Amino acid sequence: MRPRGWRDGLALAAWLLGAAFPLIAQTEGSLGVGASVVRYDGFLTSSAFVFAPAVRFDSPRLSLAGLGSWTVFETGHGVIQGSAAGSWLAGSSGSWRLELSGSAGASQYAGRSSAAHVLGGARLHVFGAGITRGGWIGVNTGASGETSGAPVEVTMAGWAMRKRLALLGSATRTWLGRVGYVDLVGAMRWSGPHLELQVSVGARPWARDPVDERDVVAIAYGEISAAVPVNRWMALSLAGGRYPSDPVRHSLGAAYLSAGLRVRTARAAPPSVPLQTTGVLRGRPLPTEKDAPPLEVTGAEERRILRVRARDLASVEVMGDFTDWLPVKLARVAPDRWEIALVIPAGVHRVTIRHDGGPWSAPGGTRLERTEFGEEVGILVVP
Amino acid sequence: MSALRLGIVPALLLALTAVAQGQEPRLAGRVPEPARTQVNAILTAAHTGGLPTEPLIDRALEGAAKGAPAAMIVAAVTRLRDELVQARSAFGETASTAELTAGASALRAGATAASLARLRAVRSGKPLTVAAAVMADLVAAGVPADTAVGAVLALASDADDADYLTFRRNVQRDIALGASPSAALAVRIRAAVSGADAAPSPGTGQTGPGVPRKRKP
Repeated sequence: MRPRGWRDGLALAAWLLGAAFPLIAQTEGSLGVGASVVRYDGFLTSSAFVFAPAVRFDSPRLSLAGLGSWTVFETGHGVIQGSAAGSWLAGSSGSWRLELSGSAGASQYAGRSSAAHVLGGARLHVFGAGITRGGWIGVNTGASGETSGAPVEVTMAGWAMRKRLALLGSATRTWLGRVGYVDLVGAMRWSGPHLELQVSVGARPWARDPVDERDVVAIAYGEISAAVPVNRWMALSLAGGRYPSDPVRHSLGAAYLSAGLRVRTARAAPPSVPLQTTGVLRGRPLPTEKDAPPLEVTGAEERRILRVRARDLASVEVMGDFTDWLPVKLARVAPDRWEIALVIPAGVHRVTIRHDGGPWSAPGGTRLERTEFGEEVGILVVP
Repeated sequence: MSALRLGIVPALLLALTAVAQGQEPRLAGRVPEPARTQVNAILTAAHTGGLPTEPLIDRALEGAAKGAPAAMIVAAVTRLRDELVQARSAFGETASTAELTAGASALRAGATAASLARLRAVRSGKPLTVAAAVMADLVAAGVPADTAVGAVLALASDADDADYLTFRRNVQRDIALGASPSAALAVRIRAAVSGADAAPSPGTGQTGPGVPRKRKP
């Protein structure tokens, strides 16, 4: 299974746990391929191809899952993503049970920007008579990229099952540094012998993102997906809709339409998430992990101002032919602005930059050239 | 070959003599031996041959700053020297250091000496630095070298440096928005030639400075 996020994965797992105790231990491997048309928030519509192997182990108390994915967009850019998750269900105490879980994931976009998260959580389940309804309250926390402060998610949910129909409702409050938001989700799943249908509607009625650092906004969203088993080993799937951003797991919000094929090693139970392509497409890093900030040049030859706009840095240095390849530090002139005045003649210059004493690299806004010395420089044209 | 060697040997002796008389002070303490001696010899020969030495010094210092071994530094300086020679043969003896550096950069990006010579011919009496740099940038952005050269030449007779930079920025932006490099160039060259380079980007449906620009993932 590849959840869009561990939170939703657990949400879906809840009715599986409620419906299928005790599960027979089984391991399933699968390979998904699919094509999608997707429009990420802040981007133009693009087609994409997805290749996603996955493995999953389930026993009565322990579930483990791993997924890799490779998504290629029509621009040639790609997302490589890997994730692993596990949950353990503690012994029963009447109608109450405790579930402990952990997950980790990492992704890299276009061979440059990358993001990772590690989360752990606990959930207290309560089951009604006959295990046809129940609910839980849970909390997740851990680390999410370079975000200062640990993310915290608190979820309350209830579910009910009747024959082939399962219903779920949940409310989640998320804190991530200065960013916060609430998600309300209602979901339905109908599982028949020749079709599995899943519908969800949700809303983010409140969101706080004071400096637009995570592109979190209040929105409504919804998805629908259908999976049709071709035989014991293979299933076709079709899905579409819109989902919100998930800053904790570094995925952008998007609208999408996708179709896929999944081949698996066993088909003992219907997959909890029928369409792999919808999940793996969500690994696109947030815009906050974008390319290096551009190096701006203003002024006349005898006094050029080099300027970099960037927050949350302790130091910015440049080194280039106009400094005789000696590092010079830029001064912080505003919370998000670094500057230095230098004599730079008009022409084509070679320059590198580094932040917080890190590695030297080509600044944003310059042409990247790989040098004979095995490193990259930025080619800067100063008119 | 032997004639060439006969020519090289006196040149090297001359260079070594010059080095003994005066070395580039910025290399001292930064460029390791034997690279420093060899680079100084190249500098002396370049100066004698009328080539600018500043770009060569910069390249040696760049290698030193990156901790490159001596042989790599000498190889990099030698390669740049050869590129400067090609650029000068294309741009002419009167070309400035900035023009030759831009020409060398364009050659490295994929332009040919012949295309630089055509640029010189079309832009007679006009500065070449930005035009050559834009040519290199377009090639690096994915525009085929011949197409990039053709585009820069198409603008060469009338465009000033600001026009070239605007043209480059628009092409790069269209590519970032998802257009193929060739298509972006074709659209922008038509717009630039017709003087209407505020046309919308292909396929984006957006135009005007007030509209936020988006790109494909």
